[in-house]
Amino acid sequence: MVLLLIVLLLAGFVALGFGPTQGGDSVEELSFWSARLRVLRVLLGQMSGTTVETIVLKLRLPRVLLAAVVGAGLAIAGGTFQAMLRNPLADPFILGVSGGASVGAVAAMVFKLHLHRFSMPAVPVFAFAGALGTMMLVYWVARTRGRLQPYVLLMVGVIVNAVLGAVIMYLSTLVEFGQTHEVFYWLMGGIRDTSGYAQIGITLVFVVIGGVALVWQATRFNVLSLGEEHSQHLGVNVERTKLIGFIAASLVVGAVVSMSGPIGFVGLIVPHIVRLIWGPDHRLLLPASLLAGGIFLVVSDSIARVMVIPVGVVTAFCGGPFFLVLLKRQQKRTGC
Amino acid sequence: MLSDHSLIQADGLRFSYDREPVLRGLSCEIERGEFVGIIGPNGSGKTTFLRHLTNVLHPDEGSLFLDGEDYRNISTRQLARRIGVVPQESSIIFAFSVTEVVLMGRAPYMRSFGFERQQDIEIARYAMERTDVLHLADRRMNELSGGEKQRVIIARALAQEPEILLLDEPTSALDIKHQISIYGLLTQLNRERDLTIVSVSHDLNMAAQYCRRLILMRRGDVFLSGPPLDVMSEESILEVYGARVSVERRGDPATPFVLPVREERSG
Repeated sequence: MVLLLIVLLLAGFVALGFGPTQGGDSVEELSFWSARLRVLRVLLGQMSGTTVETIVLKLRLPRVLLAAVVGAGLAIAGGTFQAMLRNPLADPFILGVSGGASVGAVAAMVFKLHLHRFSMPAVPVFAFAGALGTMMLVYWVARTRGRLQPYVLLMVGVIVNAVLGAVIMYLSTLVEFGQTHEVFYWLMGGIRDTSGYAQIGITLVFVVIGGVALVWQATRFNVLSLGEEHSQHLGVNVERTKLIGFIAASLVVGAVVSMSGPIGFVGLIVPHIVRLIWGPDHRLLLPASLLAGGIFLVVSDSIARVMVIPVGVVTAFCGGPFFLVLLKRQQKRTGC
Repeated sequence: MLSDHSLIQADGLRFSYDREPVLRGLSCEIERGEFVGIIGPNGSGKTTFLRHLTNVLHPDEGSLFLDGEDYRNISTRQLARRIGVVPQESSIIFAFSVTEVVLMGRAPYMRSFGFERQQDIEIARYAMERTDVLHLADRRMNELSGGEKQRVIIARALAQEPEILLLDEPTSALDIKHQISIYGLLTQLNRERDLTIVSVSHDLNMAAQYCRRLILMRRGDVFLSGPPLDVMSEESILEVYGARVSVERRGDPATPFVLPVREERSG
């Protein structure tokens, strides 16, 4: 178990080492190893004042860090929703949080909202506000007699998503021609170069706090995935566990999506891959998803950057087939 | 009896879903070490009563005591250390192994952020031995047959180290061989470990064979309670179920057998 985490952390570090030197705007034509060596020297502070340092530290490191944080957040939230809703098809966007974030972000772009006075970037802030608002709306509607029932929650999430989709479509018609690209790109989702360390730090705080809360409930998610009445028989305070899961996972998704827009597949597939390899115990599954999600998005984003395509295309094309192959092998082994 | 109160005591329980009353002033007592079967027609409130015993539902009126302690003062977690539950059916969506599922019986004893200790693993092992599923320990739940699954769920309930085992139609999805083996296991647990067993059942004959006392429910209240021979008569079945049956006595000691009487419809 501990070994697994160490392996994952190591893999994460290697993946981080990959990111900064890959890319269309590569510093120099260097061989694989010398490029890595150069990055290592930058990280050790031996190349201060050079262009290489600027590019690595100001452009690439933030992007890789953000990819890691976003991937981690999406994967742990996806794993949580799958357990909480007892639905293996659940992904981080299923409860409408990402739709809310998108409405907030698009509104900020369309109406040219700004927060210069607070010296904060408008789009992520409004996106996060949209995510929070949606989360509260979904909770308020789905709560019946003091309970959050999974299927009600699912239905409310799906409907809210659909309505928000319509809002986004409407907002898109108000966009000036020159802005279409910006809006369209945000909605596709991706890791952007423009994020500063402060924003990444804030996102990281949300992911860490949310992640700790979710891992704290992991034993209870195990029991909860057997069914609610079972959980009660086993002494689990079901409503409290679901509430903590809902709030923590939604906050993580909100924070992450505000920075990156909705990136598909990570939150759906990473928990499944982890489950296929290491089993369904959430005490392992959730932290492992966190790390694996980070690795997956760092790698995907590196590929996306080299090929100059949206990262969602890479996650779908890498994740999808890989998942299907694993599933096929699993089926062969167990015959079910 | 050592103590002056029953292990479970229900006084005038009333409960309704929406406006439809399901329990209408139900009172009964269950003593330590009993093997009680709760029988009655559909909608008579058997499962609703069971859900009160597990604190999933709370009575609108009346009170419920566990070993003299008011249910309202017992936390879900505390209760789970004293009462193990085997539900009708279990659908398990992720591929948990048998060991993992049985270990979940230790949940009421576990802290957050932690794995089971050696002691928990031993208790789970022992529970699996008792229910004869140890050889399945590493198998996935979704690979098991209905009978095996139900044994695993009983092992999970035993891992809770309960004083009382509640079962809701534990054998309704099983064939006759597995029915016999599950009830045999329950009898053994009841005798050897002084485990109090309360089982809701639709199968009158199984209940009459194995339970030492039957509680026959009608419309949210106890109609009759006592040894199977007293409770199961042609009159009481006709009265409560509205079904014509013939009841025969067989075996030594004698137990009642319910046989359906074919109705000849004319016209």
